[in-house]
Amino acid sequence: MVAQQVEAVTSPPPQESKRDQARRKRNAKGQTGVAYLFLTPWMIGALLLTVGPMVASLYLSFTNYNLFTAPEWVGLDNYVRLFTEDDRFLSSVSVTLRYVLLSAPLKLAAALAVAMLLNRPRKGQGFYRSAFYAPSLLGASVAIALVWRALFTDSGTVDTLLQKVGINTGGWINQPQYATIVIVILAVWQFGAPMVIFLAGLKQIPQDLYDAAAVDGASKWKTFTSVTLPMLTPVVFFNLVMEIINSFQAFTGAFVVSNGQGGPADSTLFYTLYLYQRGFSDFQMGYASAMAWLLLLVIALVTGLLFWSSGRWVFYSGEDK
Amino acid sequence: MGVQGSSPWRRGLTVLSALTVLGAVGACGGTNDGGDGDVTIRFTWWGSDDRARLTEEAVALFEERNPGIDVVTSYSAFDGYFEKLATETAGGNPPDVIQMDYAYLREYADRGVLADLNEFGEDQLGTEEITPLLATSGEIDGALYALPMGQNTHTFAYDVERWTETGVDLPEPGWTWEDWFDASLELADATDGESVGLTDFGWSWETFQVWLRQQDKDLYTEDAELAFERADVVEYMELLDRFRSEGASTEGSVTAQIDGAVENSPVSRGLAFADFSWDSTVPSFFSVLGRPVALAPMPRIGERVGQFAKPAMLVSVAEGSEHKEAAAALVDFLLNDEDAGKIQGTTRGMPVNESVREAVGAELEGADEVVYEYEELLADELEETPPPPPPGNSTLKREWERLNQVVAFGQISIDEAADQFLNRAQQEL
Repeated sequence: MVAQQVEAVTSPPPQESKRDQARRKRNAKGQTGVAYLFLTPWMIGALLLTVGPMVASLYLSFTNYNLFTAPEWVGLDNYVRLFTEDDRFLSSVSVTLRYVLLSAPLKLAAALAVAMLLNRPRKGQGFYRSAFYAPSLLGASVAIALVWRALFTDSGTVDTLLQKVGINTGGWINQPQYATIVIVILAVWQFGAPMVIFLAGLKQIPQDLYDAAAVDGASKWKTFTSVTLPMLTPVVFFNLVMEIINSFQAFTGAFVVSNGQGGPADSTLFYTLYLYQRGFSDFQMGYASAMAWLLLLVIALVTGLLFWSSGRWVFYSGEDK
Repeated sequence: MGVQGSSPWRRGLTVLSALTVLGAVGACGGTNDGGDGDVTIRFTWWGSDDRARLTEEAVALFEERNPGIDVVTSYSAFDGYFEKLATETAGGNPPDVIQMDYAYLREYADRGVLADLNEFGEDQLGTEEITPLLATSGEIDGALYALPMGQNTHTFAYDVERWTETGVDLPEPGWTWEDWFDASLELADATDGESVGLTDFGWSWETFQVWLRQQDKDLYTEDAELAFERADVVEYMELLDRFRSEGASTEGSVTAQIDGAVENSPVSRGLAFADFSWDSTVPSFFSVLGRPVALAPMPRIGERVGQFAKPAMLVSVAEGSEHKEAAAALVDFLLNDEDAGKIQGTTRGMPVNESVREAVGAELEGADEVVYEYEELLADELEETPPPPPPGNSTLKREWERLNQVVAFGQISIDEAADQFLNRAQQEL
């Protein structure tokens, strides 16, 4: 840093001639052109596969569309029906909210706890970090959800082990009061991504703050709540926003564990799973599109609220507080 | 730094390479047409690997006899089959020959996707020998949109060896629901409650239909309205509830694990002695249990059994097919050819062509023989297939099965469940 500054002071940029400037401009223009040329495949993809379908689905959400016959305009009918006629929709909303409120905080707590353990230098650090990150690479896959299903089923591994210590639940995924918990555990287990971000955040906290706390005789817990946590709030905020968005969109776990049904008794009927059923099993694409746009609005709203609240609890160093 | 300060050559090269990449991407979208004058048709079905092997074998024989026709086959599990078919159809590219389910037939027929098979002559596509019980099962408003590929019917499949060991009397064809209730309690007693007599038959929408038909009602009228009343729903749900609460059928947490796969059924898991099923699943029970199952007709209320010969699956030709004749020839071969029948056995249920059925029947053994004898036993009582259900049926079926779970877990009362069901029916029909 210092060296660069010195250099900047001692060697001012050579005066450019007008011709040089013109050439540079032209080059820059040419470069932008080439850059766009390289971006074309991506842009074509984004337009055709993301923006296009999104616009189409916004239109479809105001129609009755069964995939075969032409969409029929029904105005706000789909949206009205969601709230007035559909018990399953309301129950899927409450299942999803419960999942978001459980899984996001638990996952972040697990990620932070493990990040703090891994933050101290020790032998085999690299190995542990990779090992704890691994579930995140696997966790979203169908295969792991299938394993989960086998683990938590009636007379599955977990049930058998619990029975050995005298707890008889009679299976997890087949009972409405436990089935969501299984999917929450599956989500919490994939704490790798927020953990890595927490680790990076922990490294950024200046050592002198800890030294000062130690001199003042602060306990470990006090150090955590007064130094680590406040200094980490920007990272907590980022992770919280990401996790909440992710958990609103959770699908794979519930789909596989409940065999696409959302059962038992709709206890794992996540919002996205119900959307999928409406669209691809009942062929009510208009209705499903309305659900998708409603989800987008809710996620935007929740994210907005988080940003609004962040002024009160997120602390950026360098800021007076 | 990139291009800056380099020669125009290099810049030209960069642009060129970019264009090459784009060109390569574009070139991937080519199509491959055989182009040697042969006719190529596509045939798609759902089913197990076993069915796939037998079907491929039959198709190979067809291709051998019809050198001008190439058949491209594809298959998948039932889960996902109709999602894929709907997408292909919506994209204007349905397969030429489609294995069709009874529950979806009307949806596809109403949307003009399927060809009227009456347009083919008897010599092109034979229908005369098809069993009269099923011959018109694919008919809607006078047009023949599908032909049955196999026949099956409802049954209570039971683990006959385990049942015999308990010493409880084996079920008889005339048993009523009450007879089954009593036997179920005895079976539960005999095993100290480890197995109950019956799987909670509320998981299946079709048992409700049989129960209704036993009282001269049905699920739907000919105008696709409900043919039963709220009182029927309540009465049937109370019947289910009595079986469950008194320990004659499986409790909610067991029923919740039924997913239609035989290996996950309570009978296969040793938690019940008898399971509502279709007789076409019997070979799977044999292989999962490693021992025979026996078949009993549905429990009755009075005389009428209420069961009907159901097309286990149907076959349709796409209206948009460019090679309808070739498609019809394949359908004709699969249904009416004796050799094709012998290859396929009962993989799609009982053969529908009566002379093929006789030829195949003589050679059956094991599970296939059990199915054959069961169908023979009921031959006089089986009724004609009711008209294909209306499009909302698949949603109502799922709603029914869900409500049964919710009631089984005690989350809502039977009255509330009946209200919710009728509410949904009103929206869907």
